[in-house]
Amino acid sequence: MPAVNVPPVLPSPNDLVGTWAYVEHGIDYILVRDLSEGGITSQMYMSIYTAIHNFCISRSNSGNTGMGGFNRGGAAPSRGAQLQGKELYQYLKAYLSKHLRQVLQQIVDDNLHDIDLVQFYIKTWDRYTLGARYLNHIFDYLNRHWVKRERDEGRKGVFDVNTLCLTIWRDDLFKPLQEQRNLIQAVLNLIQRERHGETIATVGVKKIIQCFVSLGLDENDTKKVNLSIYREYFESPFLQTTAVFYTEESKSFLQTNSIVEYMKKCETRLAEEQRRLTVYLHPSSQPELMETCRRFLIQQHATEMQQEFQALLEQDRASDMKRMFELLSQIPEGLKPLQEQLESHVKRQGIEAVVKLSKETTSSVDPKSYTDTLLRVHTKYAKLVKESFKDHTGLVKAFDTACKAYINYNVIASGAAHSKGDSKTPELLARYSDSLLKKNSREADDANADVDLDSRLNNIMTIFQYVNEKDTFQTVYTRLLSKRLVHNTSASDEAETNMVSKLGEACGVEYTVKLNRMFQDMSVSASLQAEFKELSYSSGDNGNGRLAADFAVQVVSKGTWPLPGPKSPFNIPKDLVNAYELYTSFYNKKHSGRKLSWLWNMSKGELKMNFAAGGATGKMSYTLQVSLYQMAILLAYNTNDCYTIEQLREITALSDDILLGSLAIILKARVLTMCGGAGGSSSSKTATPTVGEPNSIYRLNYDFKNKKIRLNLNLPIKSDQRAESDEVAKSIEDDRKLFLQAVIVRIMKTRKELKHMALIQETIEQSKKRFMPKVPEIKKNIDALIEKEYLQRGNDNTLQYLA
Amino acid sequence: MASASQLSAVREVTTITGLSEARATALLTQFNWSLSRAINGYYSGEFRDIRNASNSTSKGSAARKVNTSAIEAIFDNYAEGDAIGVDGTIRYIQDLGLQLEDAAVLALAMVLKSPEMGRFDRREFIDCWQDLTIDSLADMQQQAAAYQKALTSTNPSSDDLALFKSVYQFTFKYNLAPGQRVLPLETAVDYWRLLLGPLAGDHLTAWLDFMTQVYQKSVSKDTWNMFFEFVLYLRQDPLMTEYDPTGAWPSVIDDFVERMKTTDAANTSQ
Repeated sequence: MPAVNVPPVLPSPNDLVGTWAYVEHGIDYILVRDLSEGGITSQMYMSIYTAIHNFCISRSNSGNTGMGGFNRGGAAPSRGAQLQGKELYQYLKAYLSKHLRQVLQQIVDDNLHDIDLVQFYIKTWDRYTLGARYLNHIFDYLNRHWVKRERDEGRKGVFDVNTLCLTIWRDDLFKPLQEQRNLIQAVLNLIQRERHGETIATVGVKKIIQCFVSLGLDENDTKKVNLSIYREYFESPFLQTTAVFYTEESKSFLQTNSIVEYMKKCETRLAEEQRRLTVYLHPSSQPELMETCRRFLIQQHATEMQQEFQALLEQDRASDMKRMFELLSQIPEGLKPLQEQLESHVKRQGIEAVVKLSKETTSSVDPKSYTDTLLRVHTKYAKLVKESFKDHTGLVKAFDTACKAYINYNVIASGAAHSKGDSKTPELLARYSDSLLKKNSREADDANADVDLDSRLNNIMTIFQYVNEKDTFQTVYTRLLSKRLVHNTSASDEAETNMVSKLGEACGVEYTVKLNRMFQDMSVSASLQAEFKELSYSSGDNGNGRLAADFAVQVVSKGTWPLPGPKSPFNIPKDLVNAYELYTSFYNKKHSGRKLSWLWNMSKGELKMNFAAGGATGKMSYTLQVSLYQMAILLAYNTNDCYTIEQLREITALSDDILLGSLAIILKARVLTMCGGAGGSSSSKTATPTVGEPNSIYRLNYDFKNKKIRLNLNLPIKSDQRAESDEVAKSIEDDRKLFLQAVIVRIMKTRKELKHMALIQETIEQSKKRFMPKVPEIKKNIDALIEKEYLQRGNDNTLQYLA
Repeated sequence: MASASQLSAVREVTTITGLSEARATALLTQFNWSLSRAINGYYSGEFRDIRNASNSTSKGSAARKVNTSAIEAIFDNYAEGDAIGVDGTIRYIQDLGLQLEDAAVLALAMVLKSPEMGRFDRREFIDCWQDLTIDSLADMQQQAAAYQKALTSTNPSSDDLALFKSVYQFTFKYNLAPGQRVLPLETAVDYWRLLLGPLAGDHLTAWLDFMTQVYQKSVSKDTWNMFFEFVLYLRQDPLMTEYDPTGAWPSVIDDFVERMKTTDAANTSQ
């Protein structure tokens, strides 16, 4: 059979009609004839190629205006090699047009619609485009010479054969078909059916969409991708149907479903559209399609979602919140209401948790349960922010603001008792850390104690970062640390340094300078003590006769340690004078020029009661742990059994509040007994006399009995505690004054002249890492600096720096 | 308080503009002791000259020849040697038609550069009257009356206020004990009463109550000076509705306003 197909003889190169007939015969095989006839053979292919080649290089052919070249008598000899081809090109064009009009007619005749239309279109398109590629090769010579030349000369409407095929398809089939049969609608219907859950032949849709893309032709540069047809004919109606579809679907879905269900639906729908893009749409549609979906799926219902957020928060529905976050984060400003709600919710939760705690506790607040309460709220919502909101900046900020609010200001932190309006949180936090770092904390023998301690300290740091008044924490912490160190009640050096380094990390080294210096002082003091001990034992013939008792001294620097000095005059008991003098001379020899102040009020000791025996066997002597003041009182009883208050006052030289306070504890333990008051009358004996009454007498209790062998009488005196908290408040206030003035002077020194408001702002800015200064506080310090002539007022509410 | 920098500024202004020291001081006061602005102000005609203002009420013309010996004669009438002492001051004040507790006395003390209460020095006395082109007791009386009028007006002109401000500020340092930076509260209260009665009205009473019952401390120069500004402010906003406690006012005035507002609120809520 194939042999029949091949015309035996090539047409003459000059014979246009013959050549075209020869070529047309082949094209029929390529484009029109049923493929079962075998298509075009390579032999035919070669022959047609040759025929076209021959025609194109022929010097003249009938009807060709190019013959004029000869008539002009060799004016341009090169024209002899003039490129032929125009006629062939025109014939081809007419042929293709005719062919496609027949296809169109067939569609109309067969009355093809919807799927049938789409399928037929795809089938025809496949054959046609394949054929077009063949033709492009067969007409390669024409493409390379005549077409190239025409295009080079800027002729419009001349394309390489492949492109020619496409333009003819576009103009003679695609456009009329669209008008008569609405091909696009058929495609859109298919997509709609898929959206309704039907399975469709996506390969076909992909092909047809590729067809639209191919038909977009850039007339100037056929190699460029041009999406004009895709955009105009397909994309814009597609987006429109999408919008309509989702508007309606959302509306009806929400009539019967909750917004939470709707969000799940949205999520699926968005994923589907995303998949649609990869499966058959052109990737360039991505932004607009997704934008449309976001607009009609999310934006249209954003308010409803945002209104649901509060309920989700209250029910702790993390995964729904996560979904809502992900949806709303796709639209502009979508998360703003969420931020606001999160902020007020967390704040309320925190404040309510503290209210609950304060109702449960009757007496003063336990720092541990307070911190735990703050932390519970924080932990819960930190997790939410991290896991559901992916630490989104805006939500993190809202969360932080809320934490700052409830941690610093709640019913316990600013209780009515706290008149100054400063938060109590930093103090409670510092007290909690003290209870953790002190010896005898409950779980001391727990194997996990270390790990546990570290995580607890970390918890403190978590809350600490939100504390406004970091300086208050610092002051209280320093005081508590100094007590732990001086009284040797610190549980572990490692934990202490660990905590200090955490604070350093959070606030900078400056914050912990003093704390570190305190540790240094302690080790210097320890070596000093060792030296002294050696000296006191080895010193000459007197041997231990030189020291009546073990005598240990801690020396620390005054400026660093917030230790209160003695408030009362004091006579050192004569049993200790020796040791006192020995140490003083030892120290002065070592560091001449340093002033040694003795903090009698911080000193303590142990006394053995040799006169009364106790314990199980009744043979052990009692040991009393006493303050130095108590010691001074008790040592007096080595010489006498009984003293009046006046005598004790003279012996110890203590002021009354301390003397009586110390005495009261001794009396309570019944080491001494009081007898007789002012008159010494019998009537006052029955009534309990008041401690310190004139002429009251204190007698050593020879009948002393106690279950315990060691007694601790070194208890804090009430008035001391109150004085201390006042002292803390005052020290914080003074520090702030100095700090603010330093900040203001520093600012003004660089700026020279600044508006009042700007100065206030900048001062707040520079102070807030330490504490939140209030405007009146700042203004008072500005006033002070004006008075000290560091600043003066200028015009227009400015302040000027006076060098 | 004439600091060293202020004195040198006065000297500069006199050399540049040829003004007398008194007028240079007034000029600098008007421009808050900014030398460059004062000089600009002088040449752009913004200087509100007390002399011009008062001269328009007196009859003198700038070109009039001043009889220095007449002024000397007046001075000698009250002086013992080169200074008028306390007794002489009292007589002089009375002869000018003033009472000792008149505000104009402070204006005179400022203009005539009285170094302390109850004392005028010869050179300053003569130079200043000469600058003002005044050489007769009658003219001096008129000038004194003009001062008194300016300082007691309930509705002063801006010229009056400029004079007022410098007299007010002068009063603080004039009454300062040597080596002191603050004015005892009683002194301050006396002078507030003396100077600000007409200008501040009822607010003054409230302020003095506040200072004596709540504040109870000596008065700093800043408080003193800023209270004058506050009095001017009150003329715009007598109910203090616009008062901004975070603004540039000293805290003592914040506290005062706060107290006024709370007592007001308490009164209205009753």
